[in-house]
Amino acid sequence: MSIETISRNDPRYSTLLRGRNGRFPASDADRASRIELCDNAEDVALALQRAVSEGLRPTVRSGGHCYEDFVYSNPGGVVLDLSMMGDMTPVAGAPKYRIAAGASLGEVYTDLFKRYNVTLPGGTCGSVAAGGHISGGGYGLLSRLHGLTSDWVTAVDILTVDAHGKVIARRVDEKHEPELFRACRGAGGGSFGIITNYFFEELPKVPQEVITANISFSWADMTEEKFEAILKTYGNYWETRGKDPETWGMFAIFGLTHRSAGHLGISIQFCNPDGTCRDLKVLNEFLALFEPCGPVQTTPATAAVTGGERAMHHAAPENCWGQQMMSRHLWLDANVRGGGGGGGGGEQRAKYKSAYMKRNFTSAEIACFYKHLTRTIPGVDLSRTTVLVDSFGGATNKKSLIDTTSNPQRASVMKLQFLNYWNSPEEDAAHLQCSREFYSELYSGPDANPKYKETPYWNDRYEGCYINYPDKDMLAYSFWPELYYGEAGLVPVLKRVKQRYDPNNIFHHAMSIRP
Amino acid sequence: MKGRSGWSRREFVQMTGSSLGAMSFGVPLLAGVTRANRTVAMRFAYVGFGGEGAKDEGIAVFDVRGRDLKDKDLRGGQWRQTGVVASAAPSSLVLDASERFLYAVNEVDEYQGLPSGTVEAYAIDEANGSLKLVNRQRLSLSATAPRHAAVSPDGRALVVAVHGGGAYNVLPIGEDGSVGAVSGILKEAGSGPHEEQRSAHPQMVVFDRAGRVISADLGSDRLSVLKLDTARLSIVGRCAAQAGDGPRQVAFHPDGRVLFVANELDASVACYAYDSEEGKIVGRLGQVATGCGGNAGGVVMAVDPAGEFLYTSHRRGSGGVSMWRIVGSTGALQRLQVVDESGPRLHEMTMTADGKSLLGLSREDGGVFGWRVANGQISRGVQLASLSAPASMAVKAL
Repeated sequence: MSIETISRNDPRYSTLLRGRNGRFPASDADRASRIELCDNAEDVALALQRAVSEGLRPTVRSGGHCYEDFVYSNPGGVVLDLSMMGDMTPVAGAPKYRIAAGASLGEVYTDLFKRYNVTLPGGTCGSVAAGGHISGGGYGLLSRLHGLTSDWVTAVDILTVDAHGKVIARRVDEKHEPELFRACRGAGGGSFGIITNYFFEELPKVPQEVITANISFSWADMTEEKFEAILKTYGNYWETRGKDPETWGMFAIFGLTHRSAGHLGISIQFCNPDGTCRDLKVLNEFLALFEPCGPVQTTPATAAVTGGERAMHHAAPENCWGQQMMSRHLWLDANVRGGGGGGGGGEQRAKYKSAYMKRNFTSAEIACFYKHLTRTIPGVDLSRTTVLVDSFGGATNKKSLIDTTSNPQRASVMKLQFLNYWNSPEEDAAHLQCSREFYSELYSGPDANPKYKETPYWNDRYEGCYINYPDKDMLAYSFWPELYYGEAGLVPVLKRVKQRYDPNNIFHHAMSIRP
Repeated sequence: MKGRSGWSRREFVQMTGSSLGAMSFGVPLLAGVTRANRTVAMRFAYVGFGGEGAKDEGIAVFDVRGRDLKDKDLRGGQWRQTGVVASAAPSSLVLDASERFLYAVNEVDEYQGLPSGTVEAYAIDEANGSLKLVNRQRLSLSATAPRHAAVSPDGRALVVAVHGGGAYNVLPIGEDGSVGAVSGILKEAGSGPHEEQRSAHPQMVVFDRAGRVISADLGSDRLSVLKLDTARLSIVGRCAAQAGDGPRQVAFHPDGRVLFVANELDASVACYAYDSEEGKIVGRLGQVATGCGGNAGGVVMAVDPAGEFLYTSHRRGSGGVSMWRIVGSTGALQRLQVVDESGPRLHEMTMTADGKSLLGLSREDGGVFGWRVANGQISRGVQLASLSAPASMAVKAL
């Protein structure tokens, strides 16, 4: 197939010019003029050249999961859709494993398992695709054991646009254009070019089996004291015992939901470092820590191990029968929820924030969590307000990777994702404000450096934010690049890469590396 | 006093003031649109100041009614400043055709955290010329450091040349003069041999008689003809300048068939034939170096509305104003005269529509200067107003 161009008059246009987050595009004026569905890297090069020559701004999607408006706020521009580029067949002369940018994580895990019994330590949301996920340093349930996805990348195929506006196809690795290669390992999408393939010389073996477990707590009998005890127990584990390599096969996600959601709980995936479940000592030890906190019984089969937006996708209440007999959906949304690549699944509106934590929670932080997770605002449904507290560290904290990847956060033991979900545009302002207030207050406490107030700026407790959970609110702070990329010299490297490989700033969005 | 060696402002004014008794100002020539033979007197002048290295920034308002140079007492501040409004780095000021609204281009890299420049719309008080902000509008993402704007002949769109982000933006203009959200973006890519040409840097836009946009791109050594259609811009044609020229300014000869281009990087003025029917820059007719020895750079120019003369000065290197004769319709230039070689270097220059006065801004000397042209000769200059780091100018006569 050649490039399939979806223009405004195409019936698929209104579905395909959106992604997963219903907030974007925010207005008709923001809409791209066309979507170019590409089958392979040659298609992408052609579509990109066409856009540049016409003076149109290209933005790129693979899975369509970008948390901000980087792809869909593209007035009159072109969206290059790579979601159908899922080819994983090896390429001669390239490293052994190949993952094309459009391959979804679900496809990747299945394919790598069947063909090679290896995997990528990536995220839990199967419809997220490789393109954006890996470029920002994607991580998941096996990351404490095997590091970030970007840590394993050994070469990348990328299209850049030279000073004269000509599209150039490059294969870069640590020997060929090493700075561009480094930028492709964690700096996030949309700044330098279009990655069409990732290559890996080796990948970690798939665990033979895993145990999943859940600990659930009821909000009904929750007190602030109990809440604090639970969080401190959780955080303390990752700050202390969790640093022992023996525990790295265990990954936990603590979903701190809003009180109106009824329950809050910890989802766990466990295996031993050798990929077996022969010895359950570590898991049992962890579970036992919470016994005094009075968890409620759950049925493991129904409590999915979730992370990122998929968690909320599953938890999202369906429109209630009786309350709303009819609801209107785009076909793809109604039928391919959570799947289907670019477009689709975009009915939910969302806002995200992030923070890396090097230490356990303080009492002040926990008090702030409690306050905001129990607050009520008349007329605003906060039941889908959650903070996901992921265990982190282990293999992700290999210090040597600071200089070879663009993920400088290598000392954290927990990674926080703040999520707010709602359905109607009328609720946008209230939810965005709630999200902002929660976060600013959390990072304005006694531990905050006054100079970097309202943010988890790098200090002895925090390691800034995660670029794959981008948050435009951070643009209010002049230090936002350092917040995401640290102070150890990565920002100048990324600027240099930008100037060299995209001198005309063809690839840009609100939080792209500026020339 | 920060005048350069061999010249002081006082001396300059004293030397020249006495010879300007009969000088009067008319409407300046607006870029690309000739309004020859109009002798309407100036009423209000607006000078944007600020930008790189400047402490203060804003738009100064001058009441210049009856303030032409035939007055006896001309020394120091002949233009009477009546007000000032805050404005961030106003790199370009442009009036709409009715002269009821003034548009300012803010040469900034960031607005409300996003990498965008902005433009502002001001309503002009007809009685006293004062400015009232109508609105400030963000340009598109990456449209940083905009340099110049032009109002479409129908008054319904503002086209902006974006230096930093290498792009053009179109913004609709409302009945109340307000500037709406960006409706069209044309992203440029290109480069040249000079170190300032690592990427495309559109500098200036003017409209031809048919409503097409002609633009100069310093970064890519390129002139472009663009079509403005349903609030969007598209490329009609391109014309390459010589590599390393760095075209910065474009102005039509009043016949609309010759286009003068001031080149930033090699201090020259080139002349191109323009097919106004087809909207095509046909080819380069000639090119002259404008410096008078020394390392001149950053040439600025103004074209006589009658099409007889062209004036040049420089922002860097040698000072002075050169007067050139435009030979017939060939666009060939012959230097007639150079004045004030030790005088101010000019940042921007404009000709009044009666063709009798030349106005110039000097950033380093902090002022507005004027020259009188009569009988094929240019007078020496006089300082009309003093203000720090002037960057842009517009004069209202209607």
